Amino acid sequence: MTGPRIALAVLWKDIRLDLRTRDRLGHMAVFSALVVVLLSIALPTPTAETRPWLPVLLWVVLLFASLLGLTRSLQTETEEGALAVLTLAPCDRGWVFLGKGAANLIALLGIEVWTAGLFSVFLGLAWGPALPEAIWAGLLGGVGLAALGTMLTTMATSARFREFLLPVLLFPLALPVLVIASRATAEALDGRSVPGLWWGALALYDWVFVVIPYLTFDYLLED
Amino acid sequence: MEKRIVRVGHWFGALALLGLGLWTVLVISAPPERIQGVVQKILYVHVPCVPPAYLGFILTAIGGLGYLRTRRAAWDRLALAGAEVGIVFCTLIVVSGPIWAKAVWGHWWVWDLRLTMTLVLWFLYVAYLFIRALAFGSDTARTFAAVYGIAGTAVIPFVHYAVRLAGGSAMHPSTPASGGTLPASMAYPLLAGLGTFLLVFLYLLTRRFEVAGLESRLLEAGGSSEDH
Amino acid sequence: MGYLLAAYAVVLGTLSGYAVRLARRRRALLAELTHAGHDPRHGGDLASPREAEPGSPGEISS
Repeated sequence: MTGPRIALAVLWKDIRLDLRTRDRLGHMAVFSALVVVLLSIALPTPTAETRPWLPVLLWVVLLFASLLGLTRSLQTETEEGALAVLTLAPCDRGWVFLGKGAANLIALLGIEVWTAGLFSVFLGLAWGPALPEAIWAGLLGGVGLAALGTMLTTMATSARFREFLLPVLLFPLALPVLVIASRATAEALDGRSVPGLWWGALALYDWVFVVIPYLTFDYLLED
Repeated sequence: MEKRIVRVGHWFGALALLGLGLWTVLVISAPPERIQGVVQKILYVHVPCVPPAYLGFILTAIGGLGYLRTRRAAWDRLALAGAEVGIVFCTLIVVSGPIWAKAVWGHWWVWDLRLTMTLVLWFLYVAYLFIRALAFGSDTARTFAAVYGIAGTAVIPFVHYAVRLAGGSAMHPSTPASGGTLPASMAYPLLAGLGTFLLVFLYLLTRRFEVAGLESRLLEAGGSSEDH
Repeated sequence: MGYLLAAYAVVLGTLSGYAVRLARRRRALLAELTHAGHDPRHGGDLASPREAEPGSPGEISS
């Protein structure tokens, strides 16, 4: 089998698993709904001054939701030894990474749409004309989070205290994605155009964290 | 090769001691700054901690790359030594900075580009040491740590960019670390500090490297000692 | 003045503390290795223990 076909097979397998059991997506959706409702009760009515905080909150919720999803897949991988089987894939294992990353990305994009909707319902975030740029921020930020998450989950699988280790590994690396994506979302919501340099930096970051795991996944899956 | 590194380490230690003497004399004899007074002398101990921290983190990435390419444990020991000694210096930056800030600005922690940046770096390399400690199996741990170390160094410019984007003001004095615009009486202690701390760093690095080598030898010899 | 002394004490104390810790660990390891019958000082190059002690399992399997 060629690399791209392996990637597609892995992607398809993960999507089917998500759709069949539904617990990963379900956990993430319930989690972000709970947090958003909690925020809508606890936050004072947003003023002009505090409105820019909402995109940051949105991205923090997304980060934690994706962490929840990753922890869930961490458990599936270890319990069922799925990763061990994947190492037998007769190709460059970078493609396995791309397949798993794409599956994580699709789940994350679903959660992003869901959470963005919740924010507009419960917190009155009006997407309106900001939508195209918000979609870009969601896509580019999602790629970064999914790539990082996939790489780090693979590392954490074979470690002690996995559920503790994963956020410790993830948060410092996710910081640039979080800051740039939430700033871009905030700019778009404010009706300003987002500087091209921000998009460039975010895209470059995504590229780096797709390439590093792609090149090193062979080593990560070795044992 | 490793033996030579260890032997050179002793020389670094001796030179570092000489440098410490020179640095102490220069720091004591440096005039107090006009506005900040004597507290400004924290500069001579704060700034010299910066290059060793960054150097340690870069060595971590280099060691990681070398390990992934050649699979020789010596590269991995270099990465470990770089990260651990780098973290020590990074901690000292993060601690000595606020002491100066408290004395001069009146606040321990003020949002600032370099301060935040250093803190994020600190978290990154603490995570690196965590993965070394927690991953099962020594080969696995080494591989994961190597990839994380490389990723950590690749992320530094992005963190810098993001933190600059997020923040407003930069509270750090814009004087370059080289002390180019300082008068000679203040530039010399700073330069002596930079040189000395670099030597201290190299000494600690070689020592940590040697200890890591001894640890793995002991493990191999069937020693009773547990890992770390 | 207090702040100044505190900063210098923290930095120099930490560095020397770390150096002492490393030196102690090194001495303990050397002693343990000698005790185990593998004289580290004459054991050859640290980088290639396999050459130094034929028959011992390799450190890394490539």
